Amino acid sequence: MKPILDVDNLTRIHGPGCPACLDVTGPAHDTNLCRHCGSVVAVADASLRLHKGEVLGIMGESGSGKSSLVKMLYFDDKPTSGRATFHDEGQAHELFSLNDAQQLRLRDTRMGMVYQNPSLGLNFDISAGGNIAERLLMSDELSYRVIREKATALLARTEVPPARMDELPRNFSGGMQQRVQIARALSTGAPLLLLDEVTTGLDLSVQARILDLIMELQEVTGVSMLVVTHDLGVVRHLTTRTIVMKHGRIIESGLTDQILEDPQAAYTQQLVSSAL
Amino acid sequence: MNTILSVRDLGKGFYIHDRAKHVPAAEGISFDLKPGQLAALVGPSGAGKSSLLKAIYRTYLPSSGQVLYRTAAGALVDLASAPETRITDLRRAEIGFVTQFLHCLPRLSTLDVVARPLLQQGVARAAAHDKAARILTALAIPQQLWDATPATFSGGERQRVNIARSFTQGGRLMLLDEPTASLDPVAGENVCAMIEAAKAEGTAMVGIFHDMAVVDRLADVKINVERKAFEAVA
Ligand SMILES: Nc1ncnc2c1ncn2[C@@H]1O[C@H](COP(=O)(O)OP(=O)(O)O)[C@@H](O)[C@H]1O
Ligand SMILES: [Mg+2]
Ligand SMILES: [Zn+2]
Repeated sequence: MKPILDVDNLTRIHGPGCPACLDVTGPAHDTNLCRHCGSVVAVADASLRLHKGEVLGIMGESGSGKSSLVKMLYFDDKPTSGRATFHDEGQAHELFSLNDAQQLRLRDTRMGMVYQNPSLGLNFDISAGGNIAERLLMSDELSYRVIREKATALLARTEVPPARMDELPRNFSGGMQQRVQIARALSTGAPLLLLDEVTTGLDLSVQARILDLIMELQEVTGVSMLVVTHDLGVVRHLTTRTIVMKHGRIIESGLTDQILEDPQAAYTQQLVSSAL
Repeated sequence: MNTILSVRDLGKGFYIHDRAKHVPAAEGISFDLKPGQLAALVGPSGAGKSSLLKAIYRTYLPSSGQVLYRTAAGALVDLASAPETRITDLRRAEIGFVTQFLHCLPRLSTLDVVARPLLQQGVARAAAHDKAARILTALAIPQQLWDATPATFSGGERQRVNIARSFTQGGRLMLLDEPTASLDPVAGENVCAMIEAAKAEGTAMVGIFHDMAVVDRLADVKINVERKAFEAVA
């Protein structure tokens, strides 16, 4: 299996930071708050590899640093230190050494993000179809007819009724908004998708259908995915490997069935048994 | 013929942090398997049979020993310690696990559920559906059910769909955890026939069966699990 993304020692500290930050935070200290300088160590020394076509879960309780990690990879936030390499079209992009224009280009065409909160991933002031057109335009697709056709096909694929294409997503249900977000994220054929709690807060039956949809699309497109969730069901359903985070640290990783049935770390054992 | 699986001194125990306690499940299990052979794990319930099967599949991390597997390409891989991506590749292409329990997608038809692993391997849709249909027929799952989702089926029907899926995928090594439990005699007979057919095609298997008559009929090797496990507990 070839890697598509390598993350090396990624760290994000909110606050002034001090030499002790990493030493006095983490699972062993049961906090991500540095008692010397008051900084929050959101992510510390996180390393992972995602392979082409792989679906990797990032699991952990709220506040463990999962969103912080993917936000940096999508350039929504900047790391304090560390590297990430995106292997795409024969090139190895050092994500945090690229200039703004290069970062935007990757973000707009070669990576997709689906947020828990649809208002972050969608423009609520333009139609559902317009949201997809917007991203297609950024990838230099300029023919109105082609854009309209592609948007229609994408929305059909994510099961958004074509009749609703010209409506504003702000009027949609939460599940429907997520479908539009997924269609938008997939629109440019990006090989890397980041999903952050995409089903959290939705009705259970809606959740199940969205997960099925993501799984189907993954199979058809072979897109690589990082799936961030606090929900063990999502991890079980979608991923083949899983990483567990606590207080900004990766504390365990393994095959998803092994993480769920034979967790090694005390914390993961608690997490899994409390979910039963 | 060459050995396809060599389990050497395999052991599995669990450390439960909450109770600061080590729980042994099985210890010192060794056996060799050639293509077309079936090894039956026998012993009372609680002896660690399912744990061993899961340790071979790497759903459980083995605590000791080796699980040496000869791949189709001829490489020797220790499943106990191989990188996770190596394991996922082998699970997709060569090694299957059959349980009584079916986790399936609510929206897929039975035919699609059964054909899915082949589609995932890149087999063409028509060919995958053909094979799925053959296996469903062999397991006597009525054709009028094929378009419906197994989510609505009875326990026994779902179990048979699950078995159908595993055998449609096939593989060079299959691990079977009580595939005939809670099936009626006719369905149980169909599953046994399916296992025999897969053996005849060269599939190696490790299985757990509650019924000793089935063990006697299918097994080339019997592995006693209870004694060592109980010694470990004592
Ligand atoms: N902009 C910020 N300023 C200060 N602290 C932040 C900021 N963003 C996140 N954090 C903190 O970083 C930690 C990790 O948060 P987050 O990545 O959102 O966790 P998760 O996604 O796992 O719930 C939390 O303690 C959170 O409060
Ligand atoms: Mg989050
Ligand atoms: Zn500090």
